[in-house]
Amino acid sequence: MPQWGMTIDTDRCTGCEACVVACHAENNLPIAGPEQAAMGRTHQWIRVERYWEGEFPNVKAKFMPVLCQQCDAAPCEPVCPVNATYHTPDGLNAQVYNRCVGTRFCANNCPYTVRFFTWFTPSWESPLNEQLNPDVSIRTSGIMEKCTFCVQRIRRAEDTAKDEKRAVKDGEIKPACAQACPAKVIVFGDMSDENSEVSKLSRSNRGFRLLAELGTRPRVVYLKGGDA
Amino acid sequence: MAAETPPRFTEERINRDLLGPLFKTSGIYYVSAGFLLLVSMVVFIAWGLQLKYGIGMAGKNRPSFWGLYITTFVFWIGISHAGTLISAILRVVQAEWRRPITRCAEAITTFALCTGSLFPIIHLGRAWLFYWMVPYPNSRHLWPNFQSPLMWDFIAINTYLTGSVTYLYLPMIPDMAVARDKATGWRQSMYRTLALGWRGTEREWLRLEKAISIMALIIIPVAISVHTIVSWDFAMTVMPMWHSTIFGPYFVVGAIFSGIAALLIAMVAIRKYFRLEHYLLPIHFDNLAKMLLTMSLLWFYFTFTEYLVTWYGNESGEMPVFWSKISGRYAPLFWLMVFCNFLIPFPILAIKRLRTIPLIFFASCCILVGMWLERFLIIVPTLVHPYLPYNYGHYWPSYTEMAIASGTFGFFVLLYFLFAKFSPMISIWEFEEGLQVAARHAGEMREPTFVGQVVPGDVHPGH
Amino acid sequence: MAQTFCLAKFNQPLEARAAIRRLLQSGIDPQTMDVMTSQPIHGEPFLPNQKPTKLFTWALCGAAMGFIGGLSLATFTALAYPLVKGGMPIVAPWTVGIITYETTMLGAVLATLAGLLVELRLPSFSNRPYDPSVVDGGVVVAVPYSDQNRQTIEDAVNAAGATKVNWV
Repeated sequence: MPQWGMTIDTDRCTGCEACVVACHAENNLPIAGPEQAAMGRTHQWIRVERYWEGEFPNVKAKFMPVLCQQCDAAPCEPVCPVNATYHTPDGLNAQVYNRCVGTRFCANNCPYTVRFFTWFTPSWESPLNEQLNPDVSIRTSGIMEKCTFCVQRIRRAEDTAKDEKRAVKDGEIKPACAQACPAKVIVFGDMSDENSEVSKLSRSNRGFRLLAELGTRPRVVYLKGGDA
Repeated sequence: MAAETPPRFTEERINRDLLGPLFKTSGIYYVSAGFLLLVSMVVFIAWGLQLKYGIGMAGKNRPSFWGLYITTFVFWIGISHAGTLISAILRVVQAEWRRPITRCAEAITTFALCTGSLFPIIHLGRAWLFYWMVPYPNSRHLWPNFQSPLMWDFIAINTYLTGSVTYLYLPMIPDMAVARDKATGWRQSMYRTLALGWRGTEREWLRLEKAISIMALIIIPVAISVHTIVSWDFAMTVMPMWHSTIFGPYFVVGAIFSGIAALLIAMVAIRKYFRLEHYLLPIHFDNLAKMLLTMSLLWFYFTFTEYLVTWYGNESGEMPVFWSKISGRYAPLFWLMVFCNFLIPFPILAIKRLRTIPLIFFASCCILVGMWLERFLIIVPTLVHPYLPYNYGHYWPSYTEMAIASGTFGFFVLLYFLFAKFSPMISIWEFEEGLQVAARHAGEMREPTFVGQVVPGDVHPGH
Repeated sequence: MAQTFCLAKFNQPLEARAAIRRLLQSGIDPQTMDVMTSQPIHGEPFLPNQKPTKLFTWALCGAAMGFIGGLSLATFTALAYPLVKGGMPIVAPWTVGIITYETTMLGAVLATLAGLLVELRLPSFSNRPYDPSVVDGGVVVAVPYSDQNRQTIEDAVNAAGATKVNWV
């Protein structure tokens, strides 16, 4: 059973946000519009957090792409009263859209603030409605959503591999963010396979996990050590 | 006993005074009830709009996924602890002065629970699917998740509601019988059904009083557990300044605090409106005011502890939340809360000369404002300051939200108004029993007699 | 033929006790008599040899049933569709405990109510002997009579000072 995980190399990240746009396109994210965005209701399943360090003239910008960490001890999972979120055997934090009744408790309990709620029924003006991904369902009003590690791509790769009677190759599955990134910041793969690229990178001594002290056991390993 | 000489209480007079509102309605009542009905309809109309257009009609956003609805929910569940404290605890310790207060207190509990229970449905994103949280065998083969504090809320609040309705109804049965014997027409059929054929036999009284004492013993731990469980909606999370072990007792104390304040307001209104000055005496207000003072001190103690410990711990996740309340964006509300919950009530309730009914009423109103603010300040500052500072946000309630949240106050008062037309607000038999007990103690009688017919010095040989 | 009752009203509990004493002496069975008041009267019971109430047992049984019910609900629903949530065990003892506690209390509440209604055989809309004027004060003693003992009963209640005697 593969255990999916990801590494994100913050030393390479330029803050271009190509990952954000790719995720938006791949997963049919709703467009908030200026008023809703001012209210704080945008959807960015992956976002690039920018922090400034230092005082002028020694200012540095640090970029941290943050997405759902698919925590092994996810605080969002036990608090859903209707079992709409749980941990799959292959290590993903699953969000079941059609089960969600919208109590928003899970979003409150996520320390990374990576969960997003659909406040109104989404609509896409023409011609944007023609670029929706048929592999991903549209979430209507009142439903919680978040990054899924592009589970539709994972399942498609697994199906293809099963049809061809082989295992999934390392690097065969690329979530939209990993695919779009020009700096090869994001690496995705099977953590339980010792030889996979993500596995080797996650064992690097540049690795740390975000908010690890909270005990959430996230599956995303950030790499940071250089002074770029 | 009483400072002023009370009138001669005969049973006919008591029945007349306390049953009067059931059979006669004044014009003011109709006007007030009409206004309250309009306010309540605003709640349901606003909710209808919210259901039609989406939960986005409320002002909540990311990261403040909860706001006014959950604030008001916790507030109403808190108010519901009035009845339990007065009715149950005072019954258990056999404090005689509870007698005129038990009915209006128990009514507050039941209706506050009814009002508060609306919110877990109102705040849902897909409210029409709320029944998925009800545990029953269904075609989806999927049960709710009992690991979630919201499911504990569901079970606890339903248990408490069932218990409160039972605890309200049981002592009402003899009063329904009195109403049945005095009413005519459609009212008589209604009371006859509700009185269940009560006759007041010795056998019935014994069992009724036993059932009420058992209920009192059960409802106290239930009430404590209910608000503890509601507090765990927050304490069971990992969010800064929510993940605190003090929340259980803190919320229970706050609930009893706001409950007594609400009860005092209701008592002042009932006393004035129904002209019950000889039943609800200054001593009742005085005693409750002293309990309110105790609760105010306890509330201050818990709040102080919570904030001192947070400040001393200096955790990086918690300090932004802390400072936003003490000196930052939420500071005006925070200090207003301290004013309303402690600085104003403390002198009023502590100084005997200031402990008058009008000032107690004012202090209670301040406390209700302060306690609502306390719930708001527990919820929103934490949510708008999550662990990763990039995600700090802001929260401002929308008009729909404000309409629904404030409209529930009208809804609650409407339910209370309707109840006052339907049942005597002071328990007739308990009040009469109280006079019997008092006469017995005062006259050192060996035999109980009926009030108004005390024959002092009458000693009869053993029985 | 339906049982006929004498309803005698007294002003004070003391007078009612005197009447009851006389009635018991004349051989009436206390189990068939009823004493009605508008408030519970403290002191010795009016009628001797009354069956004690078993409400506490009802409450305990209800609590036990609630306990088992809550335990089963929380445990078996978790096992029915085992989902890993937050790394917690499928059946978490703490949460099962909370649910069980609440359902225990609920069971006790409902059983107390049921026990009260069963022991009093309420609701009752049949014509049990009753005098509505008791709500304005006084004690009403209901004694079943037949033609044989009617006179004895009448003498007993009048001697004790009955203010009103109805024969129904």
